[in-house]
Amino acid sequence: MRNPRSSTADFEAAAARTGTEKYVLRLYIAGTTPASSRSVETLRAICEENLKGRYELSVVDVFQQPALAKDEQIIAVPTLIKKLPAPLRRVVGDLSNEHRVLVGLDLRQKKHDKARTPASRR
Amino acid sequence: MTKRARPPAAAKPKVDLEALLTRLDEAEATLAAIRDGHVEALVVSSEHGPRVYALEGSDSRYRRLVETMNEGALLVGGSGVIVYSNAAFADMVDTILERVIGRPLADFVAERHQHSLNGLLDGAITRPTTGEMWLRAVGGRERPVYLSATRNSPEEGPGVSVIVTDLSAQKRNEEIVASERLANAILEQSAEPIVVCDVEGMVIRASLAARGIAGGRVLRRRFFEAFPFRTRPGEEHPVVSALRGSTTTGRELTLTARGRAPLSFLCTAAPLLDDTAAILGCVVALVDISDRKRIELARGMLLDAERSARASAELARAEAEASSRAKDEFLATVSHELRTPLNAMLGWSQLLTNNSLSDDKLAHALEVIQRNVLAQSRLVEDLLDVSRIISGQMRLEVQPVDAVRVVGAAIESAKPAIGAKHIELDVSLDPNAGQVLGDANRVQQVIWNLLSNATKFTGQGGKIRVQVRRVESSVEIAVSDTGQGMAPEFLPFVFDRFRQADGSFARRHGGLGLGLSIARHLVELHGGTIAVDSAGVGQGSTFVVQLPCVGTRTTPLPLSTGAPSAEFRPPSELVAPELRGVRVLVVDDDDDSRDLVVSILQKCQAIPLSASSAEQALSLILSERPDVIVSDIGMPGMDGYDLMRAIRALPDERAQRVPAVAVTAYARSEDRRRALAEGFQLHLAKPIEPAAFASAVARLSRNAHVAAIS
Repeated sequence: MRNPRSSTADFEAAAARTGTEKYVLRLYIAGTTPASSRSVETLRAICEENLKGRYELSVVDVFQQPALAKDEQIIAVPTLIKKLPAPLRRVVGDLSNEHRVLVGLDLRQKKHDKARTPASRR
Repeated sequence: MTKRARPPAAAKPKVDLEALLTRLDEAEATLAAIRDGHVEALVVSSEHGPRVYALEGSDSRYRRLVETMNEGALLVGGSGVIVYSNAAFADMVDTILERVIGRPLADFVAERHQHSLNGLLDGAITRPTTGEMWLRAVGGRERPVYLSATRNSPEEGPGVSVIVTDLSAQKRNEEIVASERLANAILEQSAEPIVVCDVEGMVIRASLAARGIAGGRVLRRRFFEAFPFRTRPGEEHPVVSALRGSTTTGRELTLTARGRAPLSFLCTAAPLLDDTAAILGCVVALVDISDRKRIELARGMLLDAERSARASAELARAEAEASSRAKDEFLATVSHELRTPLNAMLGWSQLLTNNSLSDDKLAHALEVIQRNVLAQSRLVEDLLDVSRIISGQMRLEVQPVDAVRVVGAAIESAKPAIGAKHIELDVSLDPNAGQVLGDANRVQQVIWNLLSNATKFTGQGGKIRVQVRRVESSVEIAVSDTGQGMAPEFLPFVFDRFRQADGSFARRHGGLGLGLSIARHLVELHGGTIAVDSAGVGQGSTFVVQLPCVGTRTTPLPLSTGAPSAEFRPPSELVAPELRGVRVLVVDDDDDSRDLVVSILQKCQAIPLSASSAEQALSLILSERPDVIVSDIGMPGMDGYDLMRAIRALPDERAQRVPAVAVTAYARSEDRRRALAEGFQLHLAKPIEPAAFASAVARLSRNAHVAAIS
């Protein structure tokens, strides 16, 4: 919201709606695997850029803390769960696609035409 | 999803549908992610708990190594964010793993080491780097660590692997080693005896000084044997106390080694504790105070002497200041009191010179002048008395004196003043009170002072009571009044010279307030006591004088030493004696004084001859043959003393022996002595009272007559 790059109209709308809400996020990773590492860095950057000062991020290594994975019925890693604000959202897989993450966090509206195409699953 | 694509429906089903569609989207995406190889591990529930299946790269053995090692293991992304951490690092920064991954490593490094951290991470891009710095835990606690950073392999993307080694324990060990070295150095070099014992009380360390005082083997001996200190009965040995956990500070002990003088020590013993507060032994520090004790006595005496000297100097200074202040105030009062009667005298005498007064006014004027003259001469008498007291020149002419008669005389002379204020006088004199040994004039002066004081402080219609009675071997003279009395705190100072009440008090009532001081001194010269009592301000006062009766005196009185005492002359009207035909030569350079004397002599039928200088007097003595010479002392040219010496050296034997009286303003006792030494028979201080003067002249002329006959 403070970043000119993100000031698209729909983002502005989302920001107006959720600008003061606190985000509680949990990312599940698997040790030192490259996708996990990339996911951590990407998510952190996205949060700092879009949610600075109003997010709480915890990262669970399912190797070291498998019990925490079970709580959320994680079947695949990496998985990002948006616990707050409601509704609960999951983003599974590599988070290097920033657009996919923003949509998963309800920070950007889905573009269904594209969401249905394989392009979103590349 | 577009509005067009959705079937029109009620609100609730629409929400459910939206949720379902969302779930579907998620499920599709999840499956797509797995299918597309974006997922690397699967978590599967089993009866033994969740299980993780890595889909790619079976690195679990290395992973476990990293997860369980004591060092912190981190992967730090190109942005500086921790993308992987093991639990050991989370422990080092006092938090849980979930709060570590995803946060910049910089968040966990002390502010002052941020620069080093950046250098370390940046440097690692080209070659492995290492460095020491301090971690800052979530709660703010810091710990020293050793960091080694290595660049990730290119296929892992930009980032650095960091191993974090906790140096806390090592640092602590270094400190311990250092402090142990320090402790050893202190122990060895200490000039004071220091001993370390184990928990059994065995000496395990001892400073050189400690070994010196033991005079034998120390190590591995019991402290009590190595250092045979004497403790007082009932006192626990400091080492015993220390080994039981309590500290003893500065206990004095005496060491008596064989063949040596006993040594005194101050002993401090403290338990030596480990981390769990278990007692490992004790440390005993001894301070040899044998020398100190020896000089303590001497120094104590010096200090005392110095302190008392300083205190007395301080006291003397304060007293001198107070006394100087009191004297200033006193002089101001004297000046005032001397001027007041002068003012009345001057004023009325000017009225007299104008000759404009009626007869009764004339009588009043004369009465006022006379009264003021008497008042002023009393002031001067008081001052002279004080001067005599200060210089120790007060002399008494001692003889048995009837107390009742003396008191009666004092009352008679005080009666006019008492009557003038309409004060009732109650006199109770026991005629059998007996005799005291003393100077009648001085005793009378004391009583007169007390009466005058009572009159001064008692208002119109008050009452004064005088009582004389025998109390055991003393005569007690009590003067009480119903006057204004005094506050209890002032009582101790009533008799002090220069300390009487406050200035305003004295001024309101007139007088110098010296009477009581003089009274006390005179009473004490008589071997008696004087006391005052008052129930308080407004409650009246009672003065009680006690004088020893004749025959009961135990201490000898300071008897008169040849010089006549200063006479006390109560202000009363004496009848002037007749001096018919007595030829008196009056020598005075001051015409007024000479005329006054001449007038008095004429009134007494004497034949006055006057000379205005000593030279004129000498010729008159030879030509006129006077019976008595009355001479001033201070005269220009030849003074009274010169005149006297000249007369006493005359060849004419009769002229040589003419009795002479000095009439002078030099009124001190040394002036009196000088006058008598120079050949005068009598010394009268100015101002003279006519009757007293006439009596003196009469006495001298009679003596001369007797001498002439014999």
